[in-house]
Amino acid sequence: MSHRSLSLLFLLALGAFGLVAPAPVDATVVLWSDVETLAENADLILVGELIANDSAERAASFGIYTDYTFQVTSVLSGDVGETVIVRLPGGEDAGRSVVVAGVPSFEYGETYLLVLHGIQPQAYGESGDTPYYVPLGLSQGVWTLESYGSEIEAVQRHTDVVFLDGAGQVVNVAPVESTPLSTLGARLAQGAQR
Amino acid sequence: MKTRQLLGVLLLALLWVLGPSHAFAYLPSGLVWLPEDLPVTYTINERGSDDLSLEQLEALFAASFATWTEVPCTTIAVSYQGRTATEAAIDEEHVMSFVESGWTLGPNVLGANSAAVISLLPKRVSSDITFNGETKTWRIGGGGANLNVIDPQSVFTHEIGHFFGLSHTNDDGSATMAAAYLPDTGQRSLSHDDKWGICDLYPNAASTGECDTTDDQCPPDSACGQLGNNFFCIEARDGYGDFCNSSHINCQDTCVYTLPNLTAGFCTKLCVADVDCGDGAECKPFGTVQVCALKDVAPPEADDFSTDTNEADATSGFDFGVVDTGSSADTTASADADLETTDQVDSALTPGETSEGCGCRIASSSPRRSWSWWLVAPLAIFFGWRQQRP
Repeated sequence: MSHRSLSLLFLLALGAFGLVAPAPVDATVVLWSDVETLAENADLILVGELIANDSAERAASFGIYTDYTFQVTSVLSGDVGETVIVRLPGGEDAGRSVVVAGVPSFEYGETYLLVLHGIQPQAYGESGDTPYYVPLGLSQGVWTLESYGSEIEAVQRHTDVVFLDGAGQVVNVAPVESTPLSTLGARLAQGAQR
Repeated sequence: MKTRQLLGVLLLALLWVLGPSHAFAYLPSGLVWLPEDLPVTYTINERGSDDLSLEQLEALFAASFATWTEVPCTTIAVSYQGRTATEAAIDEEHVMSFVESGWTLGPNVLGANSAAVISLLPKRVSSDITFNGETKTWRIGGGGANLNVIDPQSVFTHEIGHFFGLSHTNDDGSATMAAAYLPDTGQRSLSHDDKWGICDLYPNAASTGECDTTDDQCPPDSACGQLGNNFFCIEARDGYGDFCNSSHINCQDTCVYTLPNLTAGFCTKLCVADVDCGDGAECKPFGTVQVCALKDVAPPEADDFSTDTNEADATSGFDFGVVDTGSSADTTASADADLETTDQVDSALTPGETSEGCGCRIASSSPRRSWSWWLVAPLAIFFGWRQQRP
């Protein structure tokens, strides 16, 4: 095997392991909201389990998007069917990959609390009237639910913390630490009722 | 593959792993332009913005790019290629554009840099920056406390930092590369942390930075200090309890507002325990969370802040059986608001003194660095194999 072929083979092997994947490029400037304001501005607040994900190129500004399908297990605010699709930029399609760091990712089988904003399919060049969703404030609108004995904790793992109110109203701070689901739920419920 | 190219990738990956000498400082994102890529080209989409003319956009982008390229100790350079009809896409044209309809990241996101390595042989990189023109109004100077009106140059400069390969900084809450949009337009200018990052990524051997170990060459309230291979004027940031508002943000960590119109606030940091706050400070309740405050000095009164978030009678609305009746009611700080405690504060932290351990920040660096080992190790093996071939 020639030198060049070996080199190519090695790079293909890297690619097979995802190592020639895109650079982990950072992404966003976010206005941070307190939990109540986040809920107030949400179209949908729910708990769901990730049951499927699929990436494809869309006719929208970030090119490749990943659809995360969640089985809805509980709804705090908004109307939704048994499943909901969260569509986020990034993913792999036809050998090409886009990464938009700062955009949250989800793991199959995990249960999440999601504070969501609806985006009409026309934004992706599609027809229909069933919206896709994006977490408000990206990772700020995502909590992983974890059980600790009889306790259920909502854990937020976003990496960036800022404390501005996107609505210019009352400003609070958003904790990123583990929070009892009941406490977080109460705050979200209050915000959703504003 | 050219050995030089491979070596470049390897070195950049190593840079990614090793990072800066401080544990908490600027973070590289992993994408760095190679010397043969310079000057990096960019175009501006001819649709422009609903709020700004194309002429304004060209001037604003030029100024924002220059903020980075004019740092003496860096070689990063750009070349404006004019207006274009091309939209952001996975290609080699680096387009700056506004999305006036169909913004897909939600209303709280102001801008985003998306990128991908199209191929390594030859190296082809896609990188575009898009801005939220749909739910935000863009006005030079921004809207102060009205956070629906955004200062373009602040966000442009931040996103260009991503475009050049910098991630959000962990070290300086008032830096251009801080994750938050700061309404005081301070992010138009680079902090020492931003300059340190760009000079480490694209070092200029002919320069040693912006000062020569003495403070004489630095502006007031800053001191010359060495970061990496260069000397920078390191700003003295305000410490816990110091005053801040939407017109003045100089916090080491963050500004928390105490009035709805954002005309008053104080510098602090989220915490879960005293150890998060560093020497001389404690983690104290504030509203529904805990913040760092100097010992014997309570945080300002939280009542103006959000008095209704701790109501015990609210229910979660979820079917999870865990009922919390809200012990959080007692977490409202009871001490008087005393923003004049600034006189007692002399705790502006220098980069090396930034306390570690706040759960809100520690998650940002380690996952990326562990990821990078998966890239570095095979490349190192490959490079070694290449070197040993006859």
